[in-house]
Amino acid sequence: MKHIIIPILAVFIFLASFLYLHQKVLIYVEAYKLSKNHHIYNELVDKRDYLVYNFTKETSVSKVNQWAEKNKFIPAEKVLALNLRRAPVHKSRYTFASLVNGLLGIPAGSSTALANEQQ
Amino acid sequence: MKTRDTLRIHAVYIIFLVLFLTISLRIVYLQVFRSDFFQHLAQNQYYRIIPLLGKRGTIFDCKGRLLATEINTHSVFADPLFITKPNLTVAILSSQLGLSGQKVKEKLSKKKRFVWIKRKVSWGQKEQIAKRKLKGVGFLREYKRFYPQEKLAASVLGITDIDNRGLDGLELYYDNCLRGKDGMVRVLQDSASREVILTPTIITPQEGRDIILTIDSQIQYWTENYLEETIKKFSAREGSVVVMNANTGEILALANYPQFNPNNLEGVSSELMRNKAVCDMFEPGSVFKMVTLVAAIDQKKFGDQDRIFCENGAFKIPGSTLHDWKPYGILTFREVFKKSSNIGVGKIANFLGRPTIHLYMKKLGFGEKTGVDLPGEVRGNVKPLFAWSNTSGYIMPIGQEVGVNLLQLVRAFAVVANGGYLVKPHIVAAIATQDAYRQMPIEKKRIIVPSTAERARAILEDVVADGTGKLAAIKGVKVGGKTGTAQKYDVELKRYSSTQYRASFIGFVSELDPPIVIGVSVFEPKKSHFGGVVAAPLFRKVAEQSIKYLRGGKAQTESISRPSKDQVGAVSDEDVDTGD
Repeated sequence: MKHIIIPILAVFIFLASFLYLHQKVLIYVEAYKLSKNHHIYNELVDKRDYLVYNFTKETSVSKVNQWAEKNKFIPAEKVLALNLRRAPVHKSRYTFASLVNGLLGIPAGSSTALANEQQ
Repeated sequence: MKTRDTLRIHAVYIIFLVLFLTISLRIVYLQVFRSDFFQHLAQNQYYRIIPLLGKRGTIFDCKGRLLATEINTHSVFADPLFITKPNLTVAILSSQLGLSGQKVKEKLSKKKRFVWIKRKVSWGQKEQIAKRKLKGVGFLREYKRFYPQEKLAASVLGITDIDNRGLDGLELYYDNCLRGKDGMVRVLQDSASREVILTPTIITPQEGRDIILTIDSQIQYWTENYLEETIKKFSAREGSVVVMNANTGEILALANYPQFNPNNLEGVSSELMRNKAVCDMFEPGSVFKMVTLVAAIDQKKFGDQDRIFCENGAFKIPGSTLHDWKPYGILTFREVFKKSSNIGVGKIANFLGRPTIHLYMKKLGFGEKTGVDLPGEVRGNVKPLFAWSNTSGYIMPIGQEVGVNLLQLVRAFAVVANGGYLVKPHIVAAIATQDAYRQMPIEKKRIIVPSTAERARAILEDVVADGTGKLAAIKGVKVGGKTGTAQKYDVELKRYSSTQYRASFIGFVSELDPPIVIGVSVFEPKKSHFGGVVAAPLFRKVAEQSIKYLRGGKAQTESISRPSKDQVGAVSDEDVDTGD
């Protein structure tokens, strides 16, 4: 019995150590992944800020006014609100229409805005 | 033999024992007595502290348009000891960052572990340098203050320094509120100096508080545009315009010219950045006659049709002679202000007495700060009563020997426009708290009765309808105001300059809800120097656009005797009664 306990103990210690080390390595792998993701996140934030910077610069009050003056833009006094609901798609026409739309890059489902306006 | 062997064994034993003891003692010394030092040294090697910057608060206008915000940028630094290819590094850094090679070389030759190469570079520049993977060159993320509207309201917003601390304008006045609190994160770093986010210690940064201004960017844009147009037409040196809500003291627009772009401060002097409407003191000239007008009506000493003899253009007063630009005989009380007669106003003021005039100057807020939330406001200069000379009683009521700023004049006219309340001008409408916006309180106190304000308003409306301020008139809208043309006092020559003038017009549109007051001041105009010619048309343009805008485009305003853009400079002084 005594002879068996020692190898079992050795195997147990080995396995415990192995699992411990394995867990440690996994934690570090995850930490590296997290660091990499954080780096990517920062890069994306930078790109977003760069776009926001350009966008806000190009849509400043001065630029918008200058554009309006140049193009003699007069804001409409009446604002027409359109209800852009999706029209039900007929099953029979669906395959052909979606194929054509797909080829031309048009989103499926036509708007009822025009119909509502005509009514 | 046996003894020799035993001795040898003992000697070896002792040597080993001594060595063992020495090593043990050394270990004990290092582990026990120097543990803190070495622990600190080790931590420095495998931990890195990354600063997390507290974002500065954003500034919005009253409609939520962005006026000042923070953007992410990178700052380039170098560790000169780690640089392996100095010539290549210098060449790349200088070409990408627009710096001279010599300057970069000097920075890299310093015996330091950290030197800034350039702070807050663009994302594109950072990417270009990062691609080259230069050894010893790194980047730190930093926030940069960005003003998307560029020149718009620049003198109001002010500027920040490289470390995002307020230096001028609102950025300085509300620095404590806008400034964030920096935090930091401590992460592990591996042998290749890569960050490993493993049980990081974080001190969360605190963002600064956002503020909402009373400024409306659209009105501000028109105001700045028309001011620039006028300055250029009349080849003037500088000018300011203030548009204020007369009921609340909310400043809707505050423009100064020349302007500057706060995003690029290269070559911008502090003189250019000064908020002239608040920080400049000047002699107001005829616009100051409104003090005598209000005092005379409030004291009930004059009726509208009371007659005053204006001495046919010249009136001897103690120490000097008062002149009118045009000789007048007998004028009614109303006509004295309509035609802006210096002699008439001098006589009315003299009749009221110096203490009364002084009292109303103080009542209307002259000689003290308006309390506007902008830095550097001048108090103005109203001499104490005992310092008034015999001449002062005649010339102070016509706007000489007295110092004011434009905002003080606007506030005084607001009293007439709003029915008798002295308001506190302010530029911040609300400040963000943790979960809401805290509205700034509106401060006002009654200083004259409504009937006084009503009579003064009617007379000032006459000034525009049929007096010196004709070019400020807007068809279909009742406009009141007063023109002013003041000569600059030459301190060296100790007399008034005959070439340097300040043309002013302070007017109001009281039928608007809320009523607005617009103050215009143009310094050193060349082609004409009269307030009625230079400042009144500028008032009209700003007022016209503001009325349309504030009424939501419903009002059909049409100016009368409106000169076209090209004609502004060609309007002769004879076209208007330039009695100011």
